[in-house]
Amino acid sequence: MTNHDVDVLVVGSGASGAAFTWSLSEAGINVMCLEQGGWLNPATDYTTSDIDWELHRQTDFHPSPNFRRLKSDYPVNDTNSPIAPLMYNAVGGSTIHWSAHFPRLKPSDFRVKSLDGVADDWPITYKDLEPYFDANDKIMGVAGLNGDPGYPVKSPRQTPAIGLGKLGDKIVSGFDKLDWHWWPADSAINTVEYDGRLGCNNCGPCDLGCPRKAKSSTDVTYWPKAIKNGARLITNARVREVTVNDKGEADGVIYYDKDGNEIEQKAKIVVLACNGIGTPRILLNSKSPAFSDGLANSSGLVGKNLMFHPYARVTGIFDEDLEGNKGPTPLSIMSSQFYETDLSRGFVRGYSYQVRRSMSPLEVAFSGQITWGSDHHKEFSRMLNRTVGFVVIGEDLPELHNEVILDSEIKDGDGIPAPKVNYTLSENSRKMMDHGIGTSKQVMEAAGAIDVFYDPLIRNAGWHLMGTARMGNNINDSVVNKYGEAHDVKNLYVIDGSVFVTAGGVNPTSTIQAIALHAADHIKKNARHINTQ
Amino acid sequence: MNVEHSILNENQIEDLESLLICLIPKVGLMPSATEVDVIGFLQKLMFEQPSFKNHIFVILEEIKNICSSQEKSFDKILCQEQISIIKQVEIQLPDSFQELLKQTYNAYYTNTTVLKLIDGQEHPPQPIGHDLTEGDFSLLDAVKARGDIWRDIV
Repeated sequence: MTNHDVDVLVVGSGASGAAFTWSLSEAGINVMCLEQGGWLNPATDYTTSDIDWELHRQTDFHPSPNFRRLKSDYPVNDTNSPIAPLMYNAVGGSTIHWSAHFPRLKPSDFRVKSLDGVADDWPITYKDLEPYFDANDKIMGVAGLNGDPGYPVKSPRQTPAIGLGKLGDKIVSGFDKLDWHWWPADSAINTVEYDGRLGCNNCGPCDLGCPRKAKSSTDVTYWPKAIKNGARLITNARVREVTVNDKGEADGVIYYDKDGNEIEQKAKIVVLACNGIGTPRILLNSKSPAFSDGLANSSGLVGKNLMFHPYARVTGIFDEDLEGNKGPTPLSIMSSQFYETDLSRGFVRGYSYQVRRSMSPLEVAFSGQITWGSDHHKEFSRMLNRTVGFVVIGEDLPELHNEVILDSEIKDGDGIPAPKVNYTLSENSRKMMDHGIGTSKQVMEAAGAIDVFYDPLIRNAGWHLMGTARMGNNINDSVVNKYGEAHDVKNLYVIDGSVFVTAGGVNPTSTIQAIALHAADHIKKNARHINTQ
Repeated sequence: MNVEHSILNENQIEDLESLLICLIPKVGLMPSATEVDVIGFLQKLMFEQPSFKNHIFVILEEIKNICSSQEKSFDKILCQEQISIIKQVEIQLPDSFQELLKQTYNAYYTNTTVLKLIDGQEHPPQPIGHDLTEGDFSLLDAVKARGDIWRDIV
C-alpha cells in the first residue's frame, strides 16, 4: 500500500522528532511522524505506585532494549562495546525513561578543533542555537537558577531550581571547602505547576516515568501541542528504509505497521530522528543501486564517529541519614570545575559531574558492598539513604573506528537487520574518567564521607548516542549540513544526536532539541515545495 | 502466593529454607528471608523461568552432594556448618549462586513487611512523594564570586 498525502515525514517521536514536528505544525505544514512504539499512559503505565516498583528496572523499564524486549524494541548487538546503548521506544522516545538532566552544550563545545586542536569544529555555534535553546526551554519547562558562571547568561528558567535537600546541603559543603564550582543544573522537571502539568512531588525514581507529568518527556510537552495543531502521529510503525526517486532524492519511507503490513509512505521531505543508533541503521539499510553503501553515505561516515558519554560512578557513604530517598534521584547539582581543557591534567577536553541522590533499597543490595549472612542488615543500614553518587560524564572524542554497522545475522521482529556497535574507550577518555574519579573522591571526603567506592566505567550508561551522521560544511567529512540536510540526498534531513560533531561533557538532549528547532526553521523558510498556511 | 503444584519436594523446601535463612537471617526487628515468603517468590519464578529453576536445582543438588559425602542433612546441621557449605557452593556455582542471591534480594526488598521497617520506604514513591527542603542557595554567592569558568569563542 502506498500513501501520498504528507509533505514532511518525521521518523521517531522522541526529543528531536517531537520538537521538530511541533515547530512545523505551528506553521500549518502537513507533517506526519512515524513512531515504532506506542503511547504510555502516565496515569496507568508507570510503576512507581507499586510496592515492587524497583523490579521494573530489571524488566519492562530496564534502560536497555536487549533486556526489555518489548514489541517496540529492536535488538542492538553491543557485545563489542564496553558501554551498552540505551534507549526507549515509545511516543516520547528516550525522554520516557530519562532523568531529565537538561544542561546545554557550552560555547567551547562547538569549537573543539579551533580551541584545543583535536576533533573538529561544528558548522554552527552556541550563539546560533541560543534562540532555539530558549524556545525549547519554554515548551519543555526547565527548573534551574540563572547566574551559573559555567555558562553564558541565559533567559529566565521556567520553574525554580530543584531543592537540595539534606543530601544536597551535605555534598555542596565538600565543593565549598575545595572552592570548586557547583550549581543547580537545569532540569526538565516542573518544580511547580507549569504549562498545565503538576509540579514534582520529589518521589525519586524519574527513570521509571512520571505519573504527574512533572518530568518533561515529549509525550506530555510537545506532542499534545503538535497534535492539536494538526500534526499526525502514527504509532507502532517501524521504518525499514528511506526511499529515493529516480533523481536520487528522498521521497518517502517503507515501514511496517502494527499488524506487520508493509506500507510505503511518500513525502516531499523525510526527516530522521531515530537517535545515534537508529538513524545510521536506517540509512545503512536504505541501499539502492545509486547508494550501495547506504543512503547519504558518499563520505563513508554514516555510522562512524560514534560517541557515547563514558560514565564513571563514585559513591560516598556518610555517617548520617541524608534523607537521600527524597527528591528527584538525579539531584541536579552539576560541577563544571574540570570541564574546559587543561592539558596539565594529562588529557584533552574535560568532564562534568552530576550528583545523584541515595541508592534505593535494591540498588544498595546490588551495590557490591553488601554481603549475605549475619552482617547483611548492618551493612545495608550503613548505606540506605546515606549514599551520595557522582556520575562523571566524560567527553568522548570522535574516532572513526567507533561505529554503528548493520549486524550480518541478528534481525528485529520485522526482519530488519539489527545495529551492531563496535566501540572502544580511548586512552584520553580513560584518563579523563580516572581524573574524575579522583576529584570526586576529594569532594566526597571534603564533605565528610566515611567510605568511597567507585565503578570506573558503567556499562549500562549508553544513554547519549552521538556522531554517527555528523554535520559539517564539507561533503567529504560530514553527512549533513548545519541544518541537518544530507549533502548528497536532497530532501533528507537528520535532526537527532547523530549530527553531533563533538560530544561535549554534558547530557545532549537540550542541544539535540535546539538543533531540531533550528532545522525546522530552515525548512519553514526555505522549502518552497511544501505547503504552508 | 498460590502455586498449583509446589515445584520443590519437601526435602528441597527444607534445604532451601535453611539456605535462605543463612543468606538473610533474622536480626533484631528485621525478619529473615523465610519469614517474608521469599521462598514463595522464588517458587513462582521457578515456574515462570526454566533457567532460574535450573539454577535452584543445581544449587540444591550441590548442597545435597556435599552433605551426603559427610552423611549429614543440610537442614539439621549447625548454622556455621551451613554457612561453610553455602560458601563452597558460592565458589563452585558462581552464576547460579548469584542468580539465587539476586532473586532473594528482589523478593526481600520488595516485600511490604520489610519495606515498612526500612527508613523512608514505608510507601512506594507515588502517589505520596516526599517533602524536600530547598537548601541554601546563598552558598552560590561564593561560586559566582570566583568568576566565569566557561570559555568563550572569539
